[in-house]
Amino acid sequence: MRIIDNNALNYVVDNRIKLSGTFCTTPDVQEEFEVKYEGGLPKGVQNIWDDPQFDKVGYLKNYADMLNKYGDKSFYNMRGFGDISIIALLKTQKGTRKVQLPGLEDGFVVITTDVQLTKHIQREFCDTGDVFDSSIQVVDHVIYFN
Amino acid sequence: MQIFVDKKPSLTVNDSVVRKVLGIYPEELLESRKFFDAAFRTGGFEFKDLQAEADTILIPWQLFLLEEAKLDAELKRIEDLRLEKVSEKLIVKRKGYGDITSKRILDRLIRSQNYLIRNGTFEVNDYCGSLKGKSISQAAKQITTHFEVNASSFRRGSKRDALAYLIEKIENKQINVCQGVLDSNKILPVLDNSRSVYKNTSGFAIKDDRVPFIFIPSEINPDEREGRQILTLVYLIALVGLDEYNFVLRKDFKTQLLTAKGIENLAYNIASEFLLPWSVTAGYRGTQISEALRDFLSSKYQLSPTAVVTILRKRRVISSFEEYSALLPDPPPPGKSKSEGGRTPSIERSVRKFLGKLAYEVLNGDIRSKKTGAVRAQYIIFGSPRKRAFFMYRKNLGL
Repeated sequence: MRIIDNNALNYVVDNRIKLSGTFCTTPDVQEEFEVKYEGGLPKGVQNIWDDPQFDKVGYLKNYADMLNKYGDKSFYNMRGFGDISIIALLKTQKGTRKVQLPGLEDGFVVITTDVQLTKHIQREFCDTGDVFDSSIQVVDHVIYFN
Repeated sequence: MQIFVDKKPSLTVNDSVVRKVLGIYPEELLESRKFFDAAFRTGGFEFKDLQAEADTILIPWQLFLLEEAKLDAELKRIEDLRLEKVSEKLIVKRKGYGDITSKRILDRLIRSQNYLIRNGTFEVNDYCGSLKGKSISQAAKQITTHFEVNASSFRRGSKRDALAYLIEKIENKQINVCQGVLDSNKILPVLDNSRSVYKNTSGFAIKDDRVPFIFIPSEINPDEREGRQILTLVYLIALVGLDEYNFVLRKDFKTQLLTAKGIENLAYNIASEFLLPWSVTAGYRGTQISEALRDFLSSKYQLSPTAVVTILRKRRVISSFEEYSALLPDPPPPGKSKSEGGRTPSIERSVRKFLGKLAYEVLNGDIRSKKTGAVRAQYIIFGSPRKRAFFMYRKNLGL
């Protein structure tokens, strides 16, 4: 599964990149993206909330957990919650790893340059040695799309 | 309380968390809204309905998901910010007066001011506190000199022109003037009891040693016509000059003006002297004040007729209470809200009016140079993300 954040989406649109295959994003990221670009997500990018098989119940719980763990500064600085939503998405996918979802066997690539998001992902997933966790990659969007 | 997602139970949140979030704006009585009333009664709600309701009341839905301790910390942060900027008296409903300062408006302007100070380049404002220790006439002169107010220019046109003139002069000297806006651009939300909350919101000043903010109700109180707004504005300017932020000009300012003591009285006297000099009214001592004279002074000195009569009474030019009461004009018919009928102004015009010139210019510059993110800009402009409105705003301004 390839997960894309707002900065990466902006990069795709600004550089007229034609995406091949499917990318996922979250409702919060789509909300931020559509502030700048009318007309919905670029072709090839799906909002995970629109996937009928997505565990929305689990996602909301994970969202609340991550919000309480990392969300303080967002309220104070009036930032969006895109990074919280992406970690919640990853946590939710971890919870459903036994279910065969398209792309699951290939692991997860998170396309972002957000330093804070990268740190949170490292903290939540990449230090535990769990099989799932070691299959998560975080890639800069400039590197990924070039 | 149970949160459902497509009818499946997901999270549980404490009722107390919901109450505390809604208590951010206690004067708006948000608990009594249909959605929350039903949620408390039934013990739950659908997540998508919470999102829609949060969008209407302009409170981030994420706040409802916070653990109580985290929420308390966030609410304390909000309260500390408020207290840093205005006196505690202004953010507590005062018994007997029914004065409410809309906390929603207060929070929006504090955010805007904090943004402006962090992202603009402003020197310390030497007007703040500069009226301390001065006599009334010296202080009034100081206002004239500092803000470069030309009396002829100020008094020349209509009250609307005079108000615009004064606002321009004040903003040229690094004091940001924000005005209440109530049109279909929805810079401020209009909920069930919003109108009565806004009508009871007096003008107030928000402290800062570089860019103090002044808020005048303007459209949100249709009974407050331009003459009254001019008096409010000058009164608040006097308070900033005295470095005092504890006072508002209440709805029934007549009684307030006639009975004020201490700093409040001093600020009134300075404002009155600036607008209607003692040297003018002294000439009418011992004469019969007629309605025609009252209206003449109102027109010439850009004051409401009520303010003229009250100032004359305070100065004992009108010596008897009977004469004073007889000269008070009949209350005007309830003002029509500007949002009822008539063309909606452009969104950028409404934003400019609410944010004030200085905040408007700095924020737009930062949007243009991408120094600030879109989400943050929307919180400052609209109080919450509003994609479509922000898109139009940027399009109209070429940002």
